[in-house]
Amino acid sequence: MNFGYLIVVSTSTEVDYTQLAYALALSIKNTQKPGYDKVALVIDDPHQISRFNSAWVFDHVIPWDKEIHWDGRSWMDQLSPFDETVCLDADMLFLRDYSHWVDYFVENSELYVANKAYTYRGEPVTSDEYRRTFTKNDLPDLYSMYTFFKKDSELAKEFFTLGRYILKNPKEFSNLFLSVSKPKVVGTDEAFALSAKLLDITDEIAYELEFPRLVHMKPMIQNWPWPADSVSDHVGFYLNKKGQLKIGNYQQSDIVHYVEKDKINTEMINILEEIAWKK
Amino acid sequence: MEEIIDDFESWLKNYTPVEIDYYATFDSDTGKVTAVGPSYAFTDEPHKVAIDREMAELILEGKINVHSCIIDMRSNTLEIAEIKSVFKIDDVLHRIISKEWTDIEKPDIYITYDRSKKSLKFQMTEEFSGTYKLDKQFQPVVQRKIYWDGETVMNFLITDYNDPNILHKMISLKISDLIAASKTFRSLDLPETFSVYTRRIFKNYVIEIK
Repeated sequence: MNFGYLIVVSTSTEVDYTQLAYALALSIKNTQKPGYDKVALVIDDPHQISRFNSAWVFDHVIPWDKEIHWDGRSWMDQLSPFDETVCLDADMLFLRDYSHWVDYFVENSELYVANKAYTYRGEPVTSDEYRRTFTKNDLPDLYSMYTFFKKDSELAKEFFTLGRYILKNPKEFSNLFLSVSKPKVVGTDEAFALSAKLLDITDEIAYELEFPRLVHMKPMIQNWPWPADSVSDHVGFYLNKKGQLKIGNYQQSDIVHYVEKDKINTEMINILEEIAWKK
Repeated sequence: MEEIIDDFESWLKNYTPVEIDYYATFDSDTGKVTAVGPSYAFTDEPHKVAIDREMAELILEGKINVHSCIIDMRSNTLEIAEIKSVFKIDDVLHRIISKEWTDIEKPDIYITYDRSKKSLKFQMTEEFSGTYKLDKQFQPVVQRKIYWDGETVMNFLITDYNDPNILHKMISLKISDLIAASKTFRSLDLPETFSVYTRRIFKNYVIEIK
């Protein structure tokens, strides 16, 4: 098996995505067993990683600058150096061994896109606060932040090719297929969902499973009885020296998509590095 | 009379925005600030003082409660009394950042844990008549006048590292304990790694572990 995780970032003046990718890669090395802990980083400016103490956490560094920001993820099938890949968002943290999920996907799927998210209290997200486009246009509820695919899959190739085409022609696809509620921006989630719908492959790539379990930290989907601008106004984010994370008083064990980029600072990086060095 | 601009491009190029002066109006008996805004809003107000733009914006944005502001009538300057209204979790349960991880150069409260002596020392900045000496670059220090209730109790929770859910000890002291004096708690055998949390009364807290 030649499996690995893929992270695609590009330089931004507002957010240090490379540092977020570094934190994620450290957390993968710290928690996944050998054979399931490979990480490839796709980045527009590979020199950026020379500033990190443990750049070795990136097994592959792939220079690529054809797209900016998240749009680059739609090229994951062409960029990944692995036969089997899970492509992740950079602002995520791994907190325990999830390799059994990978075993399942390698055994049973060519392509699988996460289609459920959880609050930090482990409740399924039911609000469509940030996903009106999905509900109003009857799109499958796909989350591209965890996408498994096999490199040799024709299904995956067709899916990503159409996804890229949608991202390149957002107005046309919005007008034709998302007219009930047009998104401000057609992002990767919308493009993937529309691609799945148009190809009629939702049942093949997003069927009911209890995993991957992804904690999504956008504020308005936490099932709170009050409106919120940011999660950290209401609950704390506590990463201890063992790399264990509590949000409020809830111990986290699933993959956390923390959303607020300032959660990863030099101190957090130092914690993750020390764990990696001792492993 | 209105001005007619012939060459808009060159006008825009040379345009310099008018600098707005900000003022605070106050009750002349108590010194309590009643309103903050641009100077033209208070042309008829008898009791007003000029304040700096940064402070005015913080008050107008609600980051500093106007009710916490007092005019020191001897110097005619605006001073902030202790912040008593807290809303965010970081205000209610504020983690005191370690010296090695912070850029804070002017802490209001400085805590030192000396592992060999097992002592925890609390100091307030000399800006507030405390004993913590600020760095040379900030000398000579201009004393800030703060109007507080000296009996206000500050509680410090000593917890597991970055986890306020696991409490080891709680320490309490009054603000008045730190005026012209430091306060040291001895025989405190703390874990190898720990964090200190508090309700945020001051803006900047720093801890140093030796």
